Amino acid sequence: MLYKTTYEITEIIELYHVQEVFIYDCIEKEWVTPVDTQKRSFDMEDITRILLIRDLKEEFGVNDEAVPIILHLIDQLHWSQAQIKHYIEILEK
Amino acid sequence: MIKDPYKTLGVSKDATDEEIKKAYRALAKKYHPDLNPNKKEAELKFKDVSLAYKLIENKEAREKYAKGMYEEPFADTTARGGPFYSEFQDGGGRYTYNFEGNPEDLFKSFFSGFKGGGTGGMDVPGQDHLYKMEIDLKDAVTGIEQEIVLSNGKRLKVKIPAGISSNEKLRFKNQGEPGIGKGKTGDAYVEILIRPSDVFKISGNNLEIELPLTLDEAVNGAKIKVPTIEGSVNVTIPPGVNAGTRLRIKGKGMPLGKGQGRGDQIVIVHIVLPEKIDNKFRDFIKSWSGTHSYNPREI
Repeated sequence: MLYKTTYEITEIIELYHVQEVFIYDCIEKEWVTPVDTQKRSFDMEDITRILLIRDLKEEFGVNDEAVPIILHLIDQLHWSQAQIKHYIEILEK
Repeated sequence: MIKDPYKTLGVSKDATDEEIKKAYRALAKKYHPDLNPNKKEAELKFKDVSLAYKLIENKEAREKYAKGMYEEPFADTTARGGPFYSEFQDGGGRYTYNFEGNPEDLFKSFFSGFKGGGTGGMDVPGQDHLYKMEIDLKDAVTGIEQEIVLSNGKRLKVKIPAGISSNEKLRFKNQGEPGIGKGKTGDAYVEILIRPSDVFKISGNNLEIELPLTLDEAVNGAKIKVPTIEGSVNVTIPPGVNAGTRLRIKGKGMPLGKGQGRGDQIVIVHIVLPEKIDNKFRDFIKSWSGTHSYNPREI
């Protein structure tokens, strides 16, 4: 599927049925930082992070205190995977 | 074909809302793609589980399901399909770049058995970071300076040269991930993406624009204001110009680089009939065509 580079809040609300107040809550709690903070536009990484947070809170019943901890663990996992992939590429050269 | 939601969730047909929700949550946590990155099977199971929950989450839904009162493709519109966060983390993303892990610690944890210490005397270069920046076509033509914030919080001035192409990457040395041992720090790359313009189309070194004309302007010629990337200019439309004619405004296209000037702006003529055609006009054209026949489809 082709995605745009950035989306406005109104587009996110329409495409992914996310509430505006929820998006602003994620920004205020610094769980999500829009790729363009001045224009308040979001890339797919931001949008999928918002959807993940919604899943954690609304589907899994995770409370606000636990959300940043889980996000941190997920980011750590991805960071580690990216580093290992990079080292393997270097070592294979 | 929709799978049996009771079997999918592992609940009995007389399970309560609470029991169904509990079963769903347990499975959703187990199979959520963001908690199981790069596992296609988990993603498929997650989709089955979220669809199953939607089908029987409450009494009303269960009654509808029992009566077969749901329409295909129920699955496509109801199950929590993608996109998922892990899809945008291949090679790392902005949030993972921000993660303050120490690459050397990670490296040491895998190679701690090597002689010569934690990294085994290995010098490994740090990972490069990729950022994306969207700019308007005008800025791509004229060049612009913008600021981005790197993952380490540092502000970087990005000077975008005039004439840059979409998807071109600008390199900033040593602004990426630190290396291991004596390995050099990775670089930061900023990929420039040009937003499509509603008015102009890039065609090689030229910019193209479509210009609608009235019948009178096309037949008798006119002086028309035509937009260019830097503002409007007057263009003389010669009399008898035909649809599809390409007029050229020199030096108003994309920069050619290295001080070689610019391409041109190509104005492509369209002839537009009036919105409402009255009988007088219709009769005139019929009469005129009777003595001036021509066939544009003949080669």
